[in-house]
Amino acid sequence: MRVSLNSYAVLDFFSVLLRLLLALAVLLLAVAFHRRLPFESSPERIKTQEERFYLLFSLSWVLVILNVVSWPLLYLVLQSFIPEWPQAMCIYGIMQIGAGSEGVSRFLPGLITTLQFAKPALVFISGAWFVLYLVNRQSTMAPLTGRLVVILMILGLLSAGDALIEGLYLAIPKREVFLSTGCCTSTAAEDSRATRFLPQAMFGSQYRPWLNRAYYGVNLAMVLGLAFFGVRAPHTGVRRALPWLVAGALISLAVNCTFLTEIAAPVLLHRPHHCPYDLLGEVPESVVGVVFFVLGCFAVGWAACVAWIATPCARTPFLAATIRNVLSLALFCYVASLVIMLMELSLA
Amino acid sequence: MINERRRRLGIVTAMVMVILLPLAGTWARLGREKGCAFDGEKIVPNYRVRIVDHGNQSHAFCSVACATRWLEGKETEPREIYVTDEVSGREISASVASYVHSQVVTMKVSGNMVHVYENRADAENHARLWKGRFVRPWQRSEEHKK
Repeated sequence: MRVSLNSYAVLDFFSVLLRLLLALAVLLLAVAFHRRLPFESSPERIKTQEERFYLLFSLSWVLVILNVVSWPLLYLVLQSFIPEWPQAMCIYGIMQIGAGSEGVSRFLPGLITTLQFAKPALVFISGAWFVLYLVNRQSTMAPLTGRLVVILMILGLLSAGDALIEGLYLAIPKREVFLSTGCCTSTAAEDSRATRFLPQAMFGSQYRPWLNRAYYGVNLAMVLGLAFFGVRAPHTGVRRALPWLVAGALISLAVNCTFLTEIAAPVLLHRPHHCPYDLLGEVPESVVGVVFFVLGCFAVGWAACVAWIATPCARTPFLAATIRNVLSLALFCYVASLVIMLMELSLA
Repeated sequence: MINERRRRLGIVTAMVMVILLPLAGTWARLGREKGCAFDGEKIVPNYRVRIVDHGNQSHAFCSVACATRWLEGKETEPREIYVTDEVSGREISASVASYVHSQVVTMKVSGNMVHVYENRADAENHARLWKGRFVRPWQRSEEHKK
């Protein structure tokens, strides 16, 4: 077949080009400013430097917004490809295009897998930068500027890489399609899914009740932890609780991924197989619950990043307030995700 | 004080929307036609397969391939299996139908190549035209019943 050019793909191409240009501009500007930064010591020069930063930070703002938008856009593009391949019935099928091929299409599955990991990483770093930027903006001497520039260098590099990979994925002609069946119901897909052995390894063959308990237990523990040690505790208490909250968020990430694939997807879709991608087209509101959960996890990480990166040089009251606000957002997201999933499973 | 009140109002509004979202989604799907119970594909009436389980519940499938794969994952055998004659579109019991595995694919997603006929002559005709052979897709269920 040929390069797919539907409206979503064209939009994504445009977004990729824009992101690539912005990422390179941010990277170059950030490197240039980082080199000059130690030599600008007087307050007047720092002020001039801050004014120059205006361009860098304005570009960064646009890049951060585009990075966040590019995550759902990627899945919308994949969803829009489904009608073009009669053998594929969901995003999983589209992601198999090129597997087993000997031509250039053989890179497609690897590229899309890389993108699936790169997108959340980009959104996380973008969010961390944004929260640090808020703290820095409220401080009178802008003490975090140097660290913000370093994060911008990392962000620029990652964004450029992500945009290149996405551009390649869109540009490679999807010619050699070797789909015996393009559906997640195929035996191969069921055998190759990553979470297949995890619940059995953790809880034995009768894992379902245990996985249910683990899901509700871990998420409720996170809600209580965020409410009592994150939002309501004094600032020193919050800082002491942050490593535990981060550990809890990582555990909840593993448990929620397994729960979504092994229990929620089959129940919500009324089908025996385990494909969370089908939820996007058939039970879209459940995806909102997943988005809330990811946002909750990320917010805990952002609070930790701000506490660890900003505290040595920015002991402002605003720092404590920002951490508390970010943890409040995490608390709301965990509650919302739990409510949505609980209601969806009850109504299914 | 006003800011705090606004913040609380915002949280309550957001929570109400979160609660309403699953209800709205379920309500929107109420009238939607149900797809295949195995892979969710749209069911073409002439290839429809229906399995009745021991709880008297019917499960509809888009093809014989999907129905057999669904049965493979079940520990108990079904109470009854109904298939559709491709020529007349009439639902018949699976035990009286003839099955031909040929080169013609009925559903690209499931890759189903099994065709169902009520009359043996129709089945033989299809097998001759499309290099088909007679198969027994429900062999396990039949043996279990015996």
